Amino acid sequence: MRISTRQIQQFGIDSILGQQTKLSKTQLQVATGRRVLLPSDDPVATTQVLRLRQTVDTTSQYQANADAAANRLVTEEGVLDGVTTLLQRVRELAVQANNAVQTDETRRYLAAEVEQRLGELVGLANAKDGTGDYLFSGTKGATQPFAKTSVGYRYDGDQSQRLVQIGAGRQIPDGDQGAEVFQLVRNGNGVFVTAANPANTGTGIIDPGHVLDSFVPSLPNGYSIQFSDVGVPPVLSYEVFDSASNPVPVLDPTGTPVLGPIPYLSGEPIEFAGASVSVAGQPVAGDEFTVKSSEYQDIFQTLENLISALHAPATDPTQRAHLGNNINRALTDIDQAMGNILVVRSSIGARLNAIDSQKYVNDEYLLQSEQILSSIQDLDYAEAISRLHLQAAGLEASQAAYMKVNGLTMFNFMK
Amino acid sequence: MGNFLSIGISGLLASQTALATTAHNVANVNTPGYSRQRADLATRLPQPTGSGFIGNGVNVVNVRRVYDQFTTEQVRSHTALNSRLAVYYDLASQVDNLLADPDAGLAPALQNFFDASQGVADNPSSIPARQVFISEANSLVERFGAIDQRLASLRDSVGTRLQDLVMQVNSLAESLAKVNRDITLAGGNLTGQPPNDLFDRRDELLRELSELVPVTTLEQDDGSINVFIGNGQTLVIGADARGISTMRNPYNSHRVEISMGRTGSGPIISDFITGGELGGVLEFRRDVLEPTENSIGRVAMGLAQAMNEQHAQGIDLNNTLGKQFFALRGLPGDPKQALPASTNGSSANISFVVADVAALTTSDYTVSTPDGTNFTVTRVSDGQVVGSFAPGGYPYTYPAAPATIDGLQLTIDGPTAPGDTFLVEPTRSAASDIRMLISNVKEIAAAAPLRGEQVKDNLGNGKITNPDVSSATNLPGIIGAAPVSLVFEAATNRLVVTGGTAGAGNPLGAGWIPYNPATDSNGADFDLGAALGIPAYNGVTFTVSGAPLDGDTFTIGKNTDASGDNRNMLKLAGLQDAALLEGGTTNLQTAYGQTVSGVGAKTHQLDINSRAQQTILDQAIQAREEIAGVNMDEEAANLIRFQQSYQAAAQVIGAADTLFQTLLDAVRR
Repeated sequence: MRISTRQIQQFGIDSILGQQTKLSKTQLQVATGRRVLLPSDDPVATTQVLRLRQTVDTTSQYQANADAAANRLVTEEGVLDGVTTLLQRVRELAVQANNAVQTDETRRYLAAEVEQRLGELVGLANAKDGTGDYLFSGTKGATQPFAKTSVGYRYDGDQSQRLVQIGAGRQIPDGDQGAEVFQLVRNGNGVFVTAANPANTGTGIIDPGHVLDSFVPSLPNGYSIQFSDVGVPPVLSYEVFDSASNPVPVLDPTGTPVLGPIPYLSGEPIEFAGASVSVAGQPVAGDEFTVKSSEYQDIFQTLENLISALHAPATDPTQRAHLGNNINRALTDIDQAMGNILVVRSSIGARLNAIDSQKYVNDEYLLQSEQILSSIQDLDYAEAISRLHLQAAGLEASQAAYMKVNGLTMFNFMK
Repeated sequence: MGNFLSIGISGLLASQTALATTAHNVANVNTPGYSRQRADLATRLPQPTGSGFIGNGVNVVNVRRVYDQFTTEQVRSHTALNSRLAVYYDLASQVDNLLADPDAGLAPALQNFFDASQGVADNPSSIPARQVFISEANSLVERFGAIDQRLASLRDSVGTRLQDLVMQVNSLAESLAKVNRDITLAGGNLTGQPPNDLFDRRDELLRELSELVPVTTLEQDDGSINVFIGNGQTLVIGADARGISTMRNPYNSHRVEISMGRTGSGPIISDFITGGELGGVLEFRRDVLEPTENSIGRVAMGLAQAMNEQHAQGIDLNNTLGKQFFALRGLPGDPKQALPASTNGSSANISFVVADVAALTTSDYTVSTPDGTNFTVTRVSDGQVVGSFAPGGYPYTYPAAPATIDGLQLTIDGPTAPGDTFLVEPTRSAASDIRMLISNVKEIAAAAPLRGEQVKDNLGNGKITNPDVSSATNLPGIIGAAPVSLVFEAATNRLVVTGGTAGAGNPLGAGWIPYNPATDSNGADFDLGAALGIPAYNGVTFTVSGAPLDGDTFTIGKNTDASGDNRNMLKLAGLQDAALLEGGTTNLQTAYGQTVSGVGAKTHQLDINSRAQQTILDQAIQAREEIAGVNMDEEAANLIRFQQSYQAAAQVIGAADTLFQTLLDAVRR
């Protein structure tokens, strides 16, 4: 084939330019440490990189979210730990007050301490988190949740829980609203509540009772156990009436429902409508005890009730019986409150565990994503450096070849 | 004897011509488009004698260029292909570069925006977190603007470049016309002695023209050629350069088009030019620049639409419903004007709104009416007719809500003239148009608008969840009304609904929702509006669970003072992963990623094609050079050869002289 002089030169120059382009690209790759410099270098990798970057950033944000939620839950857990300790102390005081050696005066001392504890409890319920928001006001962070009014303690927060995104499709509440924690506590044994009529003159004391199988409520006023003397000689007997004053069958020791008065035996269980209670001591005819469906009673009210019970004089047996009934009632209410706090605390613990395991999952995911990201976009330095050397050698060879070939011309010999 | 001398002289002259031709070749070794020339020699007519034919010396028959029509045309057509790809690649890689920058692209701005929304969700009452969210939203808007700005500057430079190219084409056309005239004057092919250098010059001009625009030529009998571009539009006829010019697009005065003739009013031929730099620039504008602008605009449109819709379903720190978050022409309630053609016979306007962003494409649309009453809507990207209608009166909206054509609803405001056309660009300028409307941190609606609560005195353990809402339409009425109470009626297993006033003459009160604690205590879901048959409460959904007792009450009311509520913020943050685009299959970041990888793939493909085309062009040039190129060694050899023949011919003359002297001497004696 024939070749023109211009072609020979053009070949040489093209080859040098081509080598330079390759070398400069490798140089840029080595300088930035990135394999993919432009989307056009590897369009598929670019899309993956964009997506993985989003994954990494979003997952990091989830980790930050999880930390914030965990902090808030730990703060709440600390406050609720204080509440539990406080309630335990109050319970001790109540038990102590029930002791027969206490006098009206020593009970007033105990009452004074319970009052202090009540103030402390209100303080705990109105605690704030690290950012200055109230912990227990639901989502109304700037509103103090609990305030004392003439009719008890009012909750001003709302009933919402704030959810925090801690993973893709995983949201977790970062707190508990105050009503749930402090207010929505069932009184009595949680299903029904026993009480003695304040007008009782005997010394009968009713226990909190327990549910047999399922309690059938009688709305609105509940059941009443009424004592009367029956027959000659008079035998102290009791009879159970529902809210509408209709007699209610009571199970005798054999388990047979019986209507009508039943002779009273101290401490013997009285079973009706799925409830089992017992009255101890010596009631007299005309005394009355009630068994009503449990209602929500806030913890503050429980403590207030205890305080007023402790302030009541208890010098004669009847008054003592009232005191005993009231303290029994207070103890069951405190137990309910502690149970409720415990439920909330175990839910916090469960959430903290969930956050921990989600953070672990996120970490794993983050690590994997970053590894994939690195394998896609990062440069293999060993390969790149050897490529750089090879290309540099190629460029040198092209330059040398150009000089050599272009020196050859026949005109050199025509002298 | 005289014959002997004249033979020597003919050799001398022929060698001179051959030497001159060789010198010409050496001198033009670097002249672009030059074809080496050869002096063709032939013997003169011999002299018949009795003793046979005696040679009469040599003649230069002609000086011809060593040339091959096929290879020259190959070079020309591959030049057009190559310069198209080179320019296209060059421009596309500018967009590629722009989108590649990990810090300047849209992806980090979107990510920061959604991260900041998570920050507000973590701590909704924190003013700093809200401030960060607003600044990130502003950065995002600025980033949209900045990307559009850089695309706009590319658009401007495309316009300028087209004008430059048109000037170059015209100047080459004039040169061609002039060379045509010169060739005709020089006799063209008619005399049998071709004006080689003029032909070379014309071939080179055609090659240069091919760099700008692909050409076809037709040779005339007089040696001139006619030059055509596009699909047969005349650029040069003989000595007459018709030329081309730039003109404004009839819809969009900023878009430069190519038209026939010098007047700037001839027919538009932009779409027919498919090669050369001109074709590359036009193709880049049509297939990369404008689709990229549209795609990024669509991301802006999707973001604005979804954010506005969700933000309006929240309640802010001022206890009012969320305002519009972004302002963007073309969103529902803010119609955008279509572009009427400058040739329209009426002053009617078409406006459009993007009613369904998920159905939106990245294409533009033309609306045309051949007769002024029947309209067709055509999708530009694939030429499909996507809708046709005949307005019954004005203003006329097509199609009737909630239907859309590719997410759009068009409104014609008045009668049109036959032949009117309009161009609808749904997303073209969205990235530059998007604006932030929220500036006060308190106006971020992080909280949900409604709360559901159980009344504290409830005896049962029934619970109600916070109600969810799915649309902002009825919210003002709902939160403006009294709270709704649901009271459980044990005898009938119903939740009796009271309170609330859902618009005029539509108070709640008689309604009830069935709820049976025995079967529903694990949670029953309700849609308040659907359950009561009151549309104003449609979309308010909640769950009731547990066992309420008779008279237990639940309330649903406005979520006042919930500074710590983040329910709506979580939904706003969730838009990051929501499939808002492409018929609900693609989220915003993926859509942007597809744009980036689309441009990347295009650029990558152009890079490969461009390199391949360069190789093909190199081969074509090589093929031409093999035939027509000057080889210096060859010329050096010829130089020696013709120098020797010149010397020999001179020796012949010397010999003739000697012979003559010999004869004279003999005669003198």
